[in-house]
Amino acid sequence: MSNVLIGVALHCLLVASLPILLACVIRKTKARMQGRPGPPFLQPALDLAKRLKKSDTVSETTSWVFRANPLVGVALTVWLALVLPWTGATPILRGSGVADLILIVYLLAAIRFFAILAALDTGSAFGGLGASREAALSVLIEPGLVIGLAAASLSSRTLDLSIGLGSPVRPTVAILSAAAFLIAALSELSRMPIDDTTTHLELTMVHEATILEYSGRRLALIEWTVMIRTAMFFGIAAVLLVNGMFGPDAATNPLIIGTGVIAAGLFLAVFEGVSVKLNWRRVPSFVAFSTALAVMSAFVAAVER
Amino acid sequence: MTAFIAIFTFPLLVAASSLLVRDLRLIRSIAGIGGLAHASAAIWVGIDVWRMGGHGPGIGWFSLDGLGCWILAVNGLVYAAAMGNAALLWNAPGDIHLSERGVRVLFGCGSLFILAGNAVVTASDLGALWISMEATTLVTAPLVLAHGAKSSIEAAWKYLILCGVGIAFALLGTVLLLASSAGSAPSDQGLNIAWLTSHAMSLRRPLIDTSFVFLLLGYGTKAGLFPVHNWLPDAHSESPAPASALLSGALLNCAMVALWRISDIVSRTGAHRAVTGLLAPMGALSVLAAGVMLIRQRDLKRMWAYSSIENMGLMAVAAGLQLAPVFALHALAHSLGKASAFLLSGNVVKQFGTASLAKLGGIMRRSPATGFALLAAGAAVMGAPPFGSFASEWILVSKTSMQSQWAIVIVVIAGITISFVAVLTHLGRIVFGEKQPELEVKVSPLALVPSAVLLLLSACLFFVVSPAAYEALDKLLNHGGHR
Amino acid sequence: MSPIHEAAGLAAMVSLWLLGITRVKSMLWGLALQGGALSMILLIHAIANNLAPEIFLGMSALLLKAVVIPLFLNWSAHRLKVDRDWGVGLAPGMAMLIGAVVLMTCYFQSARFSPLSVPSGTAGYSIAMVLIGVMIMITRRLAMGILVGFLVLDNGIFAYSVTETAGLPAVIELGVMFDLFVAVLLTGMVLFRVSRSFEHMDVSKMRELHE
Repeated sequence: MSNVLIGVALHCLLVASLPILLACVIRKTKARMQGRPGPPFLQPALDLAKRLKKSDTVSETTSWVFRANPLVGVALTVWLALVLPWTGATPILRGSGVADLILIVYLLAAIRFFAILAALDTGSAFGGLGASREAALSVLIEPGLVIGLAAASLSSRTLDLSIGLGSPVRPTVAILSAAAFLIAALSELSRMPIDDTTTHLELTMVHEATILEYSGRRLALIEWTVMIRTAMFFGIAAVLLVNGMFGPDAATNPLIIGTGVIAAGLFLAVFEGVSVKLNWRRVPSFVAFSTALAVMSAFVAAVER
Repeated sequence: MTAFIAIFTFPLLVAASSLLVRDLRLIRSIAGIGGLAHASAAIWVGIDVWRMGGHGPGIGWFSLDGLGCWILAVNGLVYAAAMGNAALLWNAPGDIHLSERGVRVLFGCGSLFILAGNAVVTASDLGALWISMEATTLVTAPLVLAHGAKSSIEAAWKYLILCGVGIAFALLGTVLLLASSAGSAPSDQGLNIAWLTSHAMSLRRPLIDTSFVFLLLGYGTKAGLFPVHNWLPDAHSESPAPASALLSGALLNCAMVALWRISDIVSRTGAHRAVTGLLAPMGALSVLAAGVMLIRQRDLKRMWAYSSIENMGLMAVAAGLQLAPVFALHALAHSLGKASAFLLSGNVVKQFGTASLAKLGGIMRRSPATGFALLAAGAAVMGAPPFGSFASEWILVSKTSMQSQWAIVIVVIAGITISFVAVLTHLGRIVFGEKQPELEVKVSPLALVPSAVLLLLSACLFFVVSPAAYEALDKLLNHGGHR
Repeated sequence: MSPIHEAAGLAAMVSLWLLGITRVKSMLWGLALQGGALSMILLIHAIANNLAPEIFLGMSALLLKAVVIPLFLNWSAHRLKVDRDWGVGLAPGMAMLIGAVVLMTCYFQSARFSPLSVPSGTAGYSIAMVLIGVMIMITRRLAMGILVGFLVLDNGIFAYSVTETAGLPAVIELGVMFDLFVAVLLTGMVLFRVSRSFEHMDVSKMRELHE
């Protein structure tokens, strides 16, 4: 019992700290990749703290949706981070069914839904553009997410991810699923080949366009949400891979998974340094890779069980 | 055995000389003599096999049987005529239509092709047959490319890719056939034609059907049968005339031999319906489709190419209904007629500088011999009376009716009629028409000799065919050898 | 699962990947990987049964399919300045999804293609490779992509013959490979001529020959 309590406490601690650490690592590495010294290591955390202290400007034409969106996002994201087994430590309510795959996917969709609503709510042209792109993306990535995760947890015969992701799985399935999941995650997180969050060019913006009207406290909340989601997705991919390669024991070791998350962050930063953004019309083809990989993963998991 | 080696030696000599000898005129003489020598060797082998009742000598995966030596002789005739015509026609290097390299390619690859073609018809193993068939594609591609024009490059690309895919399907079919004999065949015998024919009943059924479909698609592409014929008109019209004669008169025969061997095996496995139900209708459809497409032709050589599709369709009908003598007769009749038709078109192109049906005209007035020969070749190809193809087509239609395949009979007759009218209309226009072609180059009248000899042979064939000859041919093809 | 099964599965998945990518260089890497996997099947089988001719055959397959042909095509692609093939008609992503369905259907229908009617899976993988090869040929725009599709198709047939039958006799199989090699060389030569006289490699724009 006490083991479980310690595990849960560790999980909560990691949920609080790992995302911010990851953001710092990515920011610093990207700066290095571009040949700049970059800001101090903890700058993202400091930015967040400063913005939380500031008040924010809200347009008069917006409704409560716009104001509620950051809160909904934070609430759902933190809940997901708490129940999903992405740190290697024991998530809260493990095995109770709250981490059901379908539920998780719909909660993720709900976050996007509110973001889209809020973007439309501002009535700006950019908001509408970002919203439409965000909606298109979310349709594209969903099959990859669902099938990939389902394939990885197939041998446990349950959709509860807190148990399913720890079940024994073949290396092939793990690699295919993790690859499918990572590609889907790149789109979900608005990262490089799909979207570049550091530019504000109307031709290319996806995620930035939806949050353009936010400032101060609410912007800080949204940024924090993105950090948590990034860490969470990388954590799940790391769990998938480590589980397939080294077995369930290694996948429940917070040290290994934590290192994995940071390593994934480093890899992402390097990748973003060398890759270019895809033409928006080529994105469906790229995301189709995720679906195909997930389907293949499910296929391998199903036939070679 | 000496003769068996001889048929592989002469083309090899010609090919080597076209590569090594510097003087083009010497190459031409060597090619002409080599062609004649090869033809006589092939006929000599044929007579030998006939005497031995359809059994012939063999080396490794290659041996002779009745059908093999028959087609060997036919191809030998076509080769001799093509080489003779090329030797007589290209009397100057730096010709306007072909560079010196092109001439070398024509002689060299033409000879290599006949080598591969001989390997196809004498192969006693389906694997060896496949390899030789692929080899024919590879050595004939440079022939299509010989002109070097944009259109010939496109034709060569189409030829390589479409025939490549077709032949790959044939390989899949071959492997499936091997799989269907797995377990029952002794090792190394799984693709032996003689073994497969005699143990056909022990092959596994569902695999045989799949295999037959792939083989039909594969070798059917090579033979230019209807839905998979697209490469044929391009390749045949873009290559130099003697090469077209080889492609049409010899290469298509090789593909048809492959189809014949396959359908012979498959029809013995109890899947007889697959052969009569697929190959024969495919042939009949080719006849009809080629007839329809012949109506709107604008190029002399393309017209002959489509008529080749029609004739391959007739041979496919014969193969589908297992009419060996008709198959062999029509192969001979078509090759004689079509080779002379293509060679004559070569003369026409050389003389008037174009093969376009719209630009040609009044050939009869300008050179009566060529005009008359063209008309005769048209008649020989389309199956008009004083030529062999009339006899073979007549027998084919009557035998098909005797088997009560009425749908096929109707389609075939419709196709033959349409193409007959279409070809004669086109030919009539260019032979008797008013229009005068602008360019005229003197062509030695000797260049007509090879085609004239072929036409004469075809006419002789018409008078030789009799019930007794038919029986003798049946005996040659249906006994001994690979069976 | 036996290593043979794994290698065949890998080869089939690689063909699926080839269906979805557009960069010609990556396609050639995939082709080399596929050729290598298939040659390994032959080598594993030959070494386990200690068959000298088969070992020789496996080595030459490895050399040809995994090294020489991809290197030659890579060299040609470099010389011809071919970089990406965006495909024609079906987008590569969609094609890949359809390919995945084809692969699974073939796998579950394995018993149909297998000589002993056992659902071994490898028969399904081979037939799927053949079909995906055809799909690549249909969905590509550049001559180079079509050639890669043809080689995938051929690899599928090779896979079928090494996994499902006792194998073609070694001499015949060598002959087949030699023919294939010459075909690739010849097609490469034609490609150079195509790029020189058409000044592009887009097969869908070849319009010299029509009725």
